[in-house]
Amino acid sequence: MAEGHGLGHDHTYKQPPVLTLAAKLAYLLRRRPGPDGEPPSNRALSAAIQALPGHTRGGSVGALSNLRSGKDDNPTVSTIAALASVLDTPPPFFLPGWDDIAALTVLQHNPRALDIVRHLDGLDQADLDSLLRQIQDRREQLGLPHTVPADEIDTESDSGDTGRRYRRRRSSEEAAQYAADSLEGL
Amino acid sequence: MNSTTTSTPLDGLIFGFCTALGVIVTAACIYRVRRKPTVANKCITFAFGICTIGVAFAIPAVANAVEDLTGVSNLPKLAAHICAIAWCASLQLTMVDIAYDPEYLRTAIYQRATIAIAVVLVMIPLWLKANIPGTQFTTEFASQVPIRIYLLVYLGYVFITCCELAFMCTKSATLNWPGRPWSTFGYGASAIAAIFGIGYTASKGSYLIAYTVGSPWSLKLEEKLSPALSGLAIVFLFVGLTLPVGRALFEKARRRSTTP
Repeated sequence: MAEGHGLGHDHTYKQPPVLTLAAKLAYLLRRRPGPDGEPPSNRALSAAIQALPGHTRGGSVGALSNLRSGKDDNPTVSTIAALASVLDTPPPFFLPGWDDIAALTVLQHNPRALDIVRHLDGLDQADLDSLLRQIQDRREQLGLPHTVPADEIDTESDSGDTGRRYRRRRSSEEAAQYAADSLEGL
Repeated sequence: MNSTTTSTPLDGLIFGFCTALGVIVTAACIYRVRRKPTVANKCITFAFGICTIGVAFAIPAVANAVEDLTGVSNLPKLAAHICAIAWCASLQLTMVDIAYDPEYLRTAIYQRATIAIAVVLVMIPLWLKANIPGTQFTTEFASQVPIRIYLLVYLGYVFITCCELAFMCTKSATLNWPGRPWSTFGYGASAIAAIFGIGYTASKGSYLIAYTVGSPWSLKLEEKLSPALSGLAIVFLFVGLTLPVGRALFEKARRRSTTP
């Protein structure tokens, strides 16, 4: 599932970077800062996994460190399920190529969304563009944001072993694109 | 950013026009922030709103009315300067949101807000000390040390913001050319605005520094130059940071015309 800025804005579309499991974990953990403003440590994450009902094995500090640093990119299904549960994330997000967490979350929480997606099968590009425009207009009528861009996920991983401050500059190109998207209201 | 000169008819004209324009661009920014509620857009909307209020205080007729109503001389001037500080702080946060990842934003808000509050906390005691009947917080009264320091602190903060804005807007304009013309022209106009802002602070600041060292240049020239530069800075920034909304409106109109 590729990230983009919607079907109607292919002029801003560019090939999304490949997101590793470590990058996805770093993104999810940065969204849950502790009291110190930092992402949870491996120890805290491990404790949360081991406190899950029915937990029997996996989720050790060492195993999590390997996943977060990218040394291990092939966790077991039970580890994926545990991480998804602890981080309140759709499990498919951890699979390669399934990077659009906002879309996956909608699908996870809304069975009607699955119906809608199934009915898109067989429609051509023009039909999809038309549908998207109708949805965006309806959103505007309801006072919701006109567009719902995919979350930008940093391709950097984070070992979780250091207390580094998250003060990363966007690249010049990223900043310029964000600046333009923001100012143009796209 | 407002005039710190003795009131002239030119002040009323410039700042009256800027206030009217401010109301229009703030409305356009409210429309944009509903479509795209990014931190940058929220900060720009707040900045334009507060700037419009600040500029209104710089209109001589409004300033006189506020003074008559409150009985406190120079209160509109202080209010206008505090609005300008809030405006600059909002623009700084806009640039931080563009330049840095969201994780750093909260820290940046605390840092920039602390600096802005510190500037205001330095200005207010100086204003209280120097605010005696018959004085104005203008370059004409540069002989009074508290007024000189007050103006230099204020101008220094605005100068730093304008330098940062000029750098960031120039970079955004050049990197978005030729793919995003709306944004290129918007950021280009904003960079020009920032350069006018630098000119405004340099004009006033250099007069005050020159006065301090004993060889001030023409006060009459400074009083003509500064309001014009600040007015141009405000107009170019209003237009520059609002112009790209035109693309959203243009595309919306095109969609409506093509939808059966």
